[in-house]
Amino acid sequence: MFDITVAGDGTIRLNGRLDSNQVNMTREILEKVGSTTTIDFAELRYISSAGLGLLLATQKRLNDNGYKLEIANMTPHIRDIFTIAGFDFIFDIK
Amino acid sequence: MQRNFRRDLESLDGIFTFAGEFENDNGFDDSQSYFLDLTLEELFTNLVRHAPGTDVIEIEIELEDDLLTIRLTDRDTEPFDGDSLGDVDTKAPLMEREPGGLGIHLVKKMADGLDYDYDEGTLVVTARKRLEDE
Repeated sequence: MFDITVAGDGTIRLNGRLDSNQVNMTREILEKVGSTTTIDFAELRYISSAGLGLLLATQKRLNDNGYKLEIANMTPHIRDIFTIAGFDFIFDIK
Repeated sequence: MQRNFRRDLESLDGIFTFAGEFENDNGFDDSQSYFLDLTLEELFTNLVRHAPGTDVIEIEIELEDDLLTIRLTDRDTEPFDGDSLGDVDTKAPLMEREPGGLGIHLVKKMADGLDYDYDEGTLVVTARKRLEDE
């Protein structure tokens, strides 16, 4: 199960398992992001390279205009994945 | 445990269900389950995208004396080696980063071994991990 919601303050919340079959739903939301935005990972239980690639593409697009994604409330397992991928260098993790 | 899956990304849900049965039967913790799920997804999606085999990919999972073995068998296909996707430079700055090869990079770093064997049209991809290290 996977769900993505956008809160009133613009924070994007990911809930469940972001695997290769869920990236299209996530892409539709992230493509609309046009400024610095927080993504709340508190309820995200799983992410694979498909989701990481989507985050990377979004971060690069925002960087072109001086903006960025900020990742909040990451679980230890996903923090490990970010570290192995070297994403801890290219995302602000709060 | 062994099961066949259609060569289609839509098979992923069934693969995760298959993995979940194995994880429950063997008392996997969250970290071990994450490794198994991620390895299956990354290796399966790579075969679907890069290897032109038959309609079915066979997946076998074994646990023997703390050694977890994950084996994907693809028949009537071409040689393929995940290393051909190139190394991922995890220290590269943002604008030089590309997503290609990231999945195999994750598996190689998390597993104790990842091998690609090809013989007479059959490709076998095997990942191994000692769970006692968890």
